Amino acid sequence: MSKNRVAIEIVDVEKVYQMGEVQVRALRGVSLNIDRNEYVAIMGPSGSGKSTLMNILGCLDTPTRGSYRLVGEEVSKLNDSRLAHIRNREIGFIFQTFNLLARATALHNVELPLIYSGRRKKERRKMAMIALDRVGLADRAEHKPNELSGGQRQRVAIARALVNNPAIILADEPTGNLDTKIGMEILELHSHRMVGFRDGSIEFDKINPNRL
Amino acid sequence: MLILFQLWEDMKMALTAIFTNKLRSILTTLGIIIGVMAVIAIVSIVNGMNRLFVDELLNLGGDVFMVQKMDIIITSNDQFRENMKRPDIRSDDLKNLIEACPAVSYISPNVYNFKRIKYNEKTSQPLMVRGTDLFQQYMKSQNVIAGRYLSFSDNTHARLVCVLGFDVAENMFPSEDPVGKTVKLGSWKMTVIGVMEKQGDMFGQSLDNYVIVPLKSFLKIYGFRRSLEVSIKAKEGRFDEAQDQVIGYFRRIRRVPYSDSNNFTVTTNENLINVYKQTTAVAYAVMIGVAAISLVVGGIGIMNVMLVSVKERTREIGIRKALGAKQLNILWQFLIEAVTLCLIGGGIGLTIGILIALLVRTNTPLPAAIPLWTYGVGFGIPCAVGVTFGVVPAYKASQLDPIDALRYE
Repeated sequence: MSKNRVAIEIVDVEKVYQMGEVQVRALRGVSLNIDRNEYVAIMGPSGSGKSTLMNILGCLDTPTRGSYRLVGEEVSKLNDSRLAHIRNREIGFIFQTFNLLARATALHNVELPLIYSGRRKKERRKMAMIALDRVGLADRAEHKPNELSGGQRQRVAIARALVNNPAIILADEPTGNLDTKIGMEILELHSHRMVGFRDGSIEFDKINPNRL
Repeated sequence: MLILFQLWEDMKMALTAIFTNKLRSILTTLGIIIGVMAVIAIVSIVNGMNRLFVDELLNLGGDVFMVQKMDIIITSNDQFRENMKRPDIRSDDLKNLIEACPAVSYISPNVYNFKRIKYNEKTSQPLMVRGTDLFQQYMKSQNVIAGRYLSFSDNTHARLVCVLGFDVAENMFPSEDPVGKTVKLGSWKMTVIGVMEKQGDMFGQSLDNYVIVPLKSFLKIYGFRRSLEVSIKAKEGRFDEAQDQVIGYFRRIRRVPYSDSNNFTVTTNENLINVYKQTTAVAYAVMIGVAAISLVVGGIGIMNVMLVSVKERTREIGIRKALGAKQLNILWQFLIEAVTLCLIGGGIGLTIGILIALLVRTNTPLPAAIPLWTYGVGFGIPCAVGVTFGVVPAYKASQLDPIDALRYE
């Protein structure tokens, strides 16, 4: 059982980028364990490799060396389809720049993960509306990102990250773009969900404490 | 059902993507539009011509074939010279035909000339004067709508009578009954004894612009030195047998050596259709060429625009992958988009093609029939083009690394 208690386990992870002639070592031997129900913030100056680590944890990127075990599974051995499944079901990613589809409405943006989980349209609509309602944007469902304010966009991104009930939530500087008040609001949303939604979920947040 | 529904969902998504670049999409599909349009329009027109040809020109009726001196289609000088040397077919040649050929039911000789006729001060356009006998009316399913057809004695006595085609009767006698009136054929006064029913148009030519006179009268008026064209009706179910017997009969009376080929021509409905189809095959070949070229060009256009689209939407692909899209999902998305784009082109091409066919039908005497399978082609070809030329861009999109795609600016 102890093995299951550890949700994320990275050992001696290195990430090297080849920038033309120069090799950039973004991560040099990072090891980290995160348990279930743990709430973790990673801090560091810009360029210290926080986002690189986030991307590896979110199964978007692969380490150059070292091992990453996600709930006992070695991620580097997984194929595209399995990785896609994990990204879809297990991880909710809130990007620093939100990464919303500019041409799609807020509702459609929130629906995206559900499409790739193969949910039916009606169900999808309903779940996405509930998620939007939870971030207080039910009345903005048909707006496109460029018709929303920065804070509203972020809340759409949060709704999208939460809509599929993922086990892990990764947030890349969730408050970095916003003023303190909204930042608090968002954190409240996170913790609300943590308590109210799903027992035994793993919350792993990276927040910039300077902004709080 | 569920799969179809899902497909429709995917296509709607593709449509949104396509509509964000309306002008680009339309320009891209131009090749497909022209390709499909060409196929539909040409197939419809050629098909209409074929149908008309079979239905109306070859209204010989079942079990009828013809024996003529000359081939119906002459393609070379040598063939023409050989044809000219052949002996004429004369009335005397036909005397013993029926006894010699038990599979033949009846025969009817024909000769043709183009002349004007006069009624009072009115002169007609040049029209076909046909010399024949009473059996001709049984060869084709043609009825007399006023008066009567040629009789046996009209021919034996070489009476100066004639039966008018529908249009002739209408043009020359707009307000009177032609039967019993006298028309002038050159200096010959002919009594109108009947009017034939209307047959309609073909290739802009009226099929009712003719005068029928007894064969013997025709020969008396225009001279005996001409070759007859013989229509032959076989007894029921003995068509092939009748042909063999007739060919044997003609070879015998013309003393054709065993080693030589026939010095006359036998024409059946089937030969005529074949000859006709050979000529329309050229139109088909041209069509296939035009369509193939424009479809390939169109396909390359589609590929190009899809490659641009993949490049432009790299970030979108990254986002989708980060949210759980598999390689197959992305491949499918872009493939559907390419196919949808092609289908829009195909739809427009189909519509324009059909409009052209309808315009041709209403504004020219050419009938245009759109065979059902062209609708299949109108959708099938664009699908094939979309898949063929969309698969490379779609595959490229599916293979993008999620993090690289997300970082793409």
